[in-house]
Parts: sequence; structure tokens; C-alpha cells
Amino acid sequence: MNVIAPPAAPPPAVAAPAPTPAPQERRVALRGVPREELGVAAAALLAGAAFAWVLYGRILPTSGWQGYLITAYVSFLALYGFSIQLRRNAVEARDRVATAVITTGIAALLGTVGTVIVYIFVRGSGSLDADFFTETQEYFGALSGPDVAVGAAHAIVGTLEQVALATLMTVPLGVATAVYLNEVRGRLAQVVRVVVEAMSALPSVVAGLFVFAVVIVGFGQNRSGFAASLALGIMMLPIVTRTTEVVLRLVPGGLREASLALGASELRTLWHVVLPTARSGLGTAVILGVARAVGETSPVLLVAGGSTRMNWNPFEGEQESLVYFIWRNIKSPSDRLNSLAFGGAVALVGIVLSLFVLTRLLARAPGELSRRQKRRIAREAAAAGPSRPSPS
Amino acid sequence: MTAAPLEATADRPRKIVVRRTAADQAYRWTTRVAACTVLALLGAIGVYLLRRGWDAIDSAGWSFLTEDRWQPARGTFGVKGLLVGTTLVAVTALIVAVPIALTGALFITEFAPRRVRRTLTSLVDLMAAVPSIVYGLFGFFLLQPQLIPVSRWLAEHFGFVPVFKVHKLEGSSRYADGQFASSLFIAGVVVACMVIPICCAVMREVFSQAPQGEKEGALALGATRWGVIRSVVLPFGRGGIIGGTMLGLGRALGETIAVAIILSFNTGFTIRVLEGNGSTISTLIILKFGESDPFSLSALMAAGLALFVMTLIVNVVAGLVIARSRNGAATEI
Amino acid sequence: MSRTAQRSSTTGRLLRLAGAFGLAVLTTVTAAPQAHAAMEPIYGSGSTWSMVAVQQWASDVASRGIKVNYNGIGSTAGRRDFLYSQSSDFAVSEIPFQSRYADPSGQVYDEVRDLQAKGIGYAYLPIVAGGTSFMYHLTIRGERVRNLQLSPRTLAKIFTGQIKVWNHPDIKADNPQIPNLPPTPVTPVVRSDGSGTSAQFSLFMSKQTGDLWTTGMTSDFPVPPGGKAQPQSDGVANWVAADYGEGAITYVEYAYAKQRNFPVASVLNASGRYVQPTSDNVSIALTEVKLAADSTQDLTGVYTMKDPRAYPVSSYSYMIVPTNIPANSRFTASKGETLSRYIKYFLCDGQQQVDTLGYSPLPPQLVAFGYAAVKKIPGAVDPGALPRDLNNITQAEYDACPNPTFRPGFTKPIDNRQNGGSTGGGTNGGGSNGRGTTGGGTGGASGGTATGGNAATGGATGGATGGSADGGAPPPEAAAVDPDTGEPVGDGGSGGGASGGTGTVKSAGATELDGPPAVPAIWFYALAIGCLALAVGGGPALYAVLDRRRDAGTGGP
Repeated sequence: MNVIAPPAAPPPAVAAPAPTPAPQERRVALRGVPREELGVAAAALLAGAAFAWVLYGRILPTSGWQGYLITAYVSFLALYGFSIQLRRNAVEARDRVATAVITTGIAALLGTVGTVIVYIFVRGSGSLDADFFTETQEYFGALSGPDVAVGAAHAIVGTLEQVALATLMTVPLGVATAVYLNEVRGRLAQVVRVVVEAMSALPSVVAGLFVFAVVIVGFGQNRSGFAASLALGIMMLPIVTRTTEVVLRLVPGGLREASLALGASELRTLWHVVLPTARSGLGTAVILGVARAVGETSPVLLVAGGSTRMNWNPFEGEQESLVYFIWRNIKSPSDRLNSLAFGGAVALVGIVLSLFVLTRLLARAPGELSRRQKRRIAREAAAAGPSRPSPS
Repeated sequence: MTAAPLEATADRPRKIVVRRTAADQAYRWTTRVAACTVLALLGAIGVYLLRRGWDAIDSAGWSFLTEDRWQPARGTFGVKGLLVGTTLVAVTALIVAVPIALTGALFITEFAPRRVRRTLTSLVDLMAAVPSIVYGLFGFFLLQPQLIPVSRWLAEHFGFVPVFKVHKLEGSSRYADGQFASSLFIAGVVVACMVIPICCAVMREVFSQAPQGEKEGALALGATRWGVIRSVVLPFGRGGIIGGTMLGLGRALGETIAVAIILSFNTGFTIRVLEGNGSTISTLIILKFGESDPFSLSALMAAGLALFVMTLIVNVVAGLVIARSRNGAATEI
Repeated sequence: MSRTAQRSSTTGRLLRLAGAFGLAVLTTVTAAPQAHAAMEPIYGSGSTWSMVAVQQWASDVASRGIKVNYNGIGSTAGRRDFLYSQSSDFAVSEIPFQSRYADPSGQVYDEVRDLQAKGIGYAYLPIVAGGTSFMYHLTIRGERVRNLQLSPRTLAKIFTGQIKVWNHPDIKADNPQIPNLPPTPVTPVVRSDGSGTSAQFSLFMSKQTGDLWTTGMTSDFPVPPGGKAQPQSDGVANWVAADYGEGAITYVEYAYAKQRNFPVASVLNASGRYVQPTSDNVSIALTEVKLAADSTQDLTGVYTMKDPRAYPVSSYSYMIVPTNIPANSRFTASKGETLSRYIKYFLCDGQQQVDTLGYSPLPPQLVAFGYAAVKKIPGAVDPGALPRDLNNITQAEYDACPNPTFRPGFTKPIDNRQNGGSTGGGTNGGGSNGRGTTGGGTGGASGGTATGGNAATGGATGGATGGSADGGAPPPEAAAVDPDTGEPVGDGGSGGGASGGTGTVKSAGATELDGPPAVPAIWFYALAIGCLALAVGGGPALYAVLDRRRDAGTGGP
């Protein structure tokens, strides 16, 4: 997984004849950028900007900063690649240009994440206090004064319960289905795959209407958080299944065959070889599913009903969730409530982030051991005999 | 001389009899039941859509596919404009999202130092956790003012391409800023923000599984980092790239709230992505279901069914492409 | 050895995890604190337009044990909840139940018939009133225009796309006080979601300028050429307020314009004055509401009211309440008590601050309709006596129901108005031809009328407009046409008690139309929890059992 660092410059085994100006072997740099290359990059950037200014702003009949940026970026890449080619060779020039492009991509990505997060925080900072996590919105309306406590505790509880229920229902089902598609490969596999894929674009309101028709009209139940979690589960199911399938497909066939050849049963192969190998991928599948479910408003609107009161019981009575809380307050003509809505967004992001961290911890990459496991191994090693060095 | 006996004793594949243990049988049945449950559940939704939408499809007939207005109460409604709008938003989103997600995933798996890898992963995941209503507001207040000049630039310099054409107002030689606001293009860019984390997560997962041996082999042969990516990581991850893209496409096609906040919703056939009007099917459903009588609701369900069928076709086509490429399943160690 | 360790740790962790989750779920279910309120909570759904007010009132009365949940999912969806799935205790809607509407597939859709078939009795009562205001974004030489005046015909032309630039002759004719209107393109911004505001505005246009607006009443506003569509009130207001919104105009509740510090246009009323949509001006106009035979609203009198203060584009939305407890219903007498107390609150005290939220207080006539309806709710608490004379309410009667429109003198014709309380009618001698803008300032709450600029506002010149007022006279009775069905409906005439005949006809064969009988909730949830437990614990447990047996059998490690 990680690129192995090259051994520290092995001295040539055979003393090469010193004076030959033969093409000298250069080690391929795998990590970091040498200082001189940073200089080259900076120079290329400057030159690119200047070149674009002349070409784009003066010669061509074009205008606008967007075009300038594009021209400058393209000229920077060209100049950078060209100068590397002059100093080294075409292969390395391509490597550097690709590195520059990839770095630009991650910069754009991080820039977007940063902007979104900062935006939410700035708009929501006014409402984030201790009350926010302990109070509900039961007594607070647009006209309430600053002395009325207001918070999103009811929405936080609702989101946690609904998403937890949806995850509990969806993840075993989705993973088992993916196993069926990829390990068991039954006759229905192709049909299931196609249907699951087509359902990934299901508009959430349709899932909401479906659950409404089945649970509330069909079974005559009241609106509840559980009904919402059913709808959220429908939204999560295709994502969990598809992501799991993608990662299961990556498990090398050789591992399976080795396990089977050693006499392990299929179940044992799945449990001890396939799933552990794909464990971090399974974590990603759960994360993506939860991320999809947590941001859905319309199913909650239809089948959970929303409420400004605390409702601990997801199986009875209307329940709020954070997204519904945001939706409710963002459309009010009151700055205080608008700020509350963004506070809800901050809380949502915070909760989901901590869930993600938790998932990542549970779904460690293969070979990575928890602290407890490491301790136990050390203990066992110590018990086995002091002469053996501890493997950690 | 020896040909005949050889032929006679030619190896025939031994017949393999699999005798599975009870545990294995249970395991196979469990997954089978799970798959059937999923199939039944999603199939039930499909049937539900069809049953609820049938009234409208039946009454509209073929005009359901050729009509671009949406006035179910008067009997004139169809998904032509909606399907095109949905496609344009999704394609815009993918054009913006896939390169960023791909480069992001490559950076995280191949370039980032081990220490920051987990942080970067969490940051990208964080992006997936932001609810779409917030993306909508973010897009409306922050992105849209920045994208209007981009739209203007595209319209002024590439207006000859039909997709980028924007009509000028009567008696005016310039474009007004408002003309570019709330367009399919801007909606697509905002949806891209939601698609990026999904694509990136799947691609990252696949890239990180690229066989270490092949990578080391490439390095030993003198490949640069880019060489390793090009010759090992990307071919290995092609299935994941396509898989991630398809997952992102699903999200882009089904995205509702953010598109509803950005887009100036107008059901008419248009391919002009920069001109501020357009429609997508998910948005149609979310915006109109609250004030729909049973027949209009049936029409909305028919639109949902059209989206379902479209996704089905796209996925089947993509499935054929994936089946032809080398993907992880072909990896051996 | 290490293999065993790894296996047990993997299964162990998963089992522990599953156990923890299961435990968490169980604790959540069993240990949920039971709130023992005196009255049963009620749940309602419907209009998004009314949601802000309904929610405000719910938070006001929550401390008195009156628990109200409201879900703004749209008027029609709210009526569906009330009628078909019977999953709500009340609905709020801008549009009454529909009758005899044939859809394009030829099926006859008749909510009124279905209500009768299901044996659901219902009554309409007014819940929130409001004027549709026209928020605009227009700048002349770097200065925002704040004194725009528009006539209903100009409005209809703008929102049908016939007026494309701001210096159109019609706009110029309406605005002699703005000498140099720019050639900025007009961008009408409409609601992209189905909305009560759209319904109210389109109804107004179809009644007043039917030659220009041919769509009739619709909650799904067609986007005019060159226009934009945005969802929700905050969406349209945000678009108009944005930098690129120069030249844009939209119809929205007044509060959203105020929140963004944007002006709203004065609209020409039947007395020839341009009026701001202040809460008092809307309330005055709504005193002319008539009830149709089925106790739905007839706004013709509102649109043509001759009172110089009346804001013509005024309307209100209904609350639909049950008047019986039909079979299969979740409604109870206890819920009826909650509902009636809630209604009593919002008809009186609750109306005091609605202007801050962008609505207008319900005038006494509408409160009277509400009082009549609330008594029909099963288990209702009597709201008390109505004022003896709605046009002359005494202080004591105002104290009993402190609705701001009950304050003495409010509903009297304008020349008798003693500037009661905060109402200040003002006329500005705007422009060259002497036509004025009547503005009503509702105290500090609405921040004065936003006529700014050269428009002098205030009570000082209020008396000057008194001469032309004949607001007390009832308008000519005309045969009203039901906006949706196109059928002529009878006119119920004016008067407080005339809210009878709410169509609460009980069908003889009150059989249910659709939906199987309700499964007892306990079985449903038992089934659900069972499935859940099976899904969560089943896999790992099954595996553990089978694997152990196999290990024992084969003598594995």
C-alpha cells in the first residue's frame, strides 16, 4: 500500500571505472521535492503568468480573468515541463507536470472543503453555545427574545437515532448483497446488480413517498423516526452495496484460492480473508452511505414529520432531524433562526465527522493492529519466552 | 503413430463435486436471501413507481417522451426537457468532479506522506457529510457570484457552440448578470461539490489496493512516480474509476435540494447550460409534490420512473465498459 | 496461535459492537422518558406559507401544555394527509377541498365526495392573513429606488412577461415621482415550488386582470419569459436581493423584504391610492371577505374595497379542523381540546405580533368565522363570546381577545379613525399629478412604511384622504366563481355567523375507501425489531455457532 522508501543509496557493488562520463545512474526521487525544483516551479509560475499576460491580455482579442487564469496555468505547465526536460529528460518532465496537475487537484479539493466549512462556521457561529446541545426549539419562535433558551438537542437525537437505525438495517443487508454479487455469484447476480445500480439515482422524495405509502397508509402507522430511517435506509442501500462490491472485487483472487486450497470453508474464507482484506473499503462504504442518508430532508419531511420537541423514541411520534431543523429555520425571515440553521449544519458536520473517525478506527486497514492487540501480542510474546523479541 | 493413443488419453477436466458444509450452505443462503431482499425492496419501489405513474403514462402516451412542458392538470406533460436538463447537470457535475476527484485520490494514495494521509481522507469524507441544503446555500451565496463571470466569459468567447449560447436581451448588445444566474451550469458545479467526495472515496480505496509488487517492479525498472501511476495504478484502478464515476453519476442524477435552490426551475427543452433556466427530474418531484393532485402526483411518479429507466440504461452501458477493462478482479498475486 | 487470536478478536469485536448497538436501541426504546402532558399533542401539516406563524404560535403555547407539531409540506399534501391517509389532526391550506375535478385521464377527482364517503366532518377556519408584497431591486445612478408604485395591470404585465424593461410606458405612468426610470431589463422572479403565495397572487390577477392573466388560480406559477423561478420565500427574496438581481421583482411576504432591507412596491387599490402592504392595510382590506356557501373565501370584495387604506392583494389561508371523530381516525376529544385551545390562542393573542413575521392580523369578521368553526371540534373548549358589534368593539371585548384588529375604532370607516394605537395612515403628495401613496405605519414593528426617498409618510396628512372613503358600504353582491372548479358558487353574504354549511355531511355508508385496517402498532414494531435483531445479531451469531461446531468436528485449531 505504501510506497516503499528506496534503500539508502546503495553503493555500487562493483567499483565503476571512475573517469567514464557514461550516463550516470540517478536515483528516482519518490518523496519530497528538491529545493532547486521548487525554484524551477516558481520561476515557471512567474514566467507562465507573464507569458499569459502578454499573449492573452495584449495579443489575442480576449479578456476576463478566467481566461487569463487558464492561459497562465497552461503556460506554467508547458514552461515547467520544458525546463525540466532541458535539465533532465522527457520522462522526468512528464512526471513533474503530472505531479503539478495532481497537486492542483488536491488543492482545489481542499480549497472547496475549507470554504464550505468556514462558510458554515461563520454563518452559524452566533448560535453555537452550550444551550445549542442541551435545549430544544420547543419554546423558541422567530419572535422570542434572547432570554429563551434554544438548541438543537432534539434534532441531534433524531439524526443519531434515525441514521443509526438506517445503518443497522442497511449495512448487513448491503454487505451481504455485495458478497452475493461478488463471492457467491448466484444466478440473480446480474439482475440484482443492475437494479441496485439504477436505484442509486432514486430521488429521495420518491423513497419518502414509498415509505409513506407502505408504512403510514398501508400499515396505518403514525409518523415516526423509524419510518424515516426506513426511507434513509433505502437511500443508503445502493451506495453501501455498490461501494462494497467495488472493494470486494479488489481482493486478489490468489488470497481466496490460497485459503480454499488450505482447506478453509467458503464462509471461513470470507470471514478471515476477504472481509478483513477489504475492511477499510467496508468502512468507506459505511461512511458514504451515512453521508448520503444524513443529508436527506424530504423523507424526514414526509414520514418523520419533524417536531420542535424532544422525542427520544424513534418508534413513536414525530421526530426532528438536523437537516429538517436546518430546513425549518433557514426559510424563516428571522436572522436569529437563520443563524440557528447554520449552527445545525455545524453540529451535523461535527457529528458525522466523529462518526467517520469512529468508523475508520473500527475498520482499520489490514495488518494494522489496535493498541489492545499490540499489547496482547507483546504480552503473549513475553509469556512465550523472554528470549524472543517483541514483534511490535 | 502415437497420435491416436495420445488423443485417446487426452486430459479431460475432472468433474469437480463440491460438497459444502452446513455452514457454507447457510452462508450461501444468507447472502442469497439478502440479495433477494434487496431485489424485492428496490423492485417494489420500481413497481410502485410504475403503478403510481401508470395513470399519467397511459393518458399521455408517447407524448410523455416528446413533450417538454409540464402541465399535468391540462394533460400536456412530458420528460423531454427534464431528461435533457438532468443529463446536462449530471454531465457538468462529472466534468468538474471527476478530474478533481481523480487527482485528489491519486495524491492521497501516491503522493501524500503517510502522516497526512488520514487527515486528507477525513477532510474529503467531511465534504460528503455536508448536507445538500447547505451546499445549495453555499452555492447560491458564494459560488454563484463567482461563476457568473465564468459563464459570461464562456458565452462571450464560445457562444458559437450551441451549448454555450446565451440569447441577448432585446435592444441590448450586452448580457445582464442575472441572465447567467441560476443556470444548469452553476447547478452542475454545485452538484460537483457533492459528487467529488463519493468519487474520490471509491477511487482512493481502489488505488490503495494497487498491487505493491507491480509498483515495486515498475520502480525497479526505472519508472518515475508518474510512470508507476500510469502503468500500474491507473490500469489497475480503472474499474474503480468507472465505479466511482457511476456512483457519482447516481448522486448527481438524484440530487434534489441543492439543485432546487440554485436552478431557476423551468420545464422547457433547452441545451443552453449557461442560460439561467432549466429543470431536472428530482427537482421537479421535490418542488411539485406538495401541491399535486393525484393525477399530477402520478405524473411525477412517471417522471421518477423515467429517471429510473435512464439510470438503468446508463448503468448497463457502463457495466459493459467495465466488463471489458482490466479491473481488480483480474489481479493475482 | 496468532490466527486464533485474530479470529476471536474479529468476531469478538463485531459481536461486542452488535451487542452495544442492540443495547443502545433497546435502552432508547424502553427508557424513553414519557412526557405526561395534560393534553394530547396534536400534529398538523400543510401550507408552507403559514408555517412560520403556525410554528411561532406553537412555541408560544408550548409552556401551557399545548403541544402542537406542524409540518410544512404544501397545501395539497396537507389536505391529502387529512383526508386520505388520515395521518394528521389538522391541515392548513390556501386552497379548499376540491370537488368534481376531472383530470386528463378522465378520472373524476372529488375530495369533497371522498370526505363524505369516509365520514370525515370538517370545518374551515381562517388562520393567517397576509398581503402579497412585491419586492424589487432597482437602482438609479447608484441609489436604490424605494418608492415604486404599480397598478394591478402593470403587475400582471410584468408577471406575464409583457413588460420587459423598467422604462416601459406603463411603469412610467404609474410612477410620475420617479423621473428617469432606467432601461434595465425586468426580471420577474416567481416561486418554483407549489405555493400559497402563487395561488393568492394568481387568483388576484385572474379576478382583476383576467384579460392579461388567463391561467386562473394556480399554486404552480408559470415562469414568464425572461423570468426566473426559485423555491421558497427565502429563495425568491435572496435572488432579488443578490447583486445580479438588479431589475428583479418578486411576490413574497413582506417580512422577507424587510429582513433584507429591500423595499416593496405600493399597489394601486380601488380608491385610486397606491398602498403599502402593511399589516393594518391588509387587515382593513380583509374586513370585506365574504364566505361562500361551503365557507370558503370569496375575496372579490377585498380586491375592490374602496377604503383608501386597503391593500388589494390580500388573502388568508385556512385551517381545516375535524368536526367529528370518524372511524379509523387518530383524532380524540383530548386532541380536540388541545386544538381548540391552540385556535383560541392564535385567533386572539397570537395575532398581536404576526406583522413582525410578515403576516397581518385577522380582522374581526374572520375571527368570528373561526369562533364559529372551533365550537364544532369534538372536545373543544368554548372560546368565549364574540364582540357584540364587530364594527364597534369595546375595550372590554378587546381585553378578552387582544387581537390588534379588535382595538376600538380599528374597523370603523376611515373618517372616524382616531389614529387608534399604532395605525398611522399617511398620504404623500407624490409627484406631479398629485396621486398619493397611502401608507400605514404599524408602529415600530414594521419599521415604518418603506416609501422613503421623496415620499413623506405618517399620520400627519392622514385626514386628507378621508373624503373619498366609503369603506363601510358593502360592495355589490356578485355571483362568485369558485376559482378552481370554474363553477358559480352561491354567495353566503356578509356577517359574522354566516359560516354554517361547512359541508360536514356524513355519508350513510361510511366505509373506508382505501387502505387496509391498521395493524396494531405493537405487532408492527415487534416485527421490525425482530428483523433488526436478526439482521444485526444473526449473522455473527450464526457464524460463531457454525464455525465452532465445525472446528470441534474437524478437530481444527
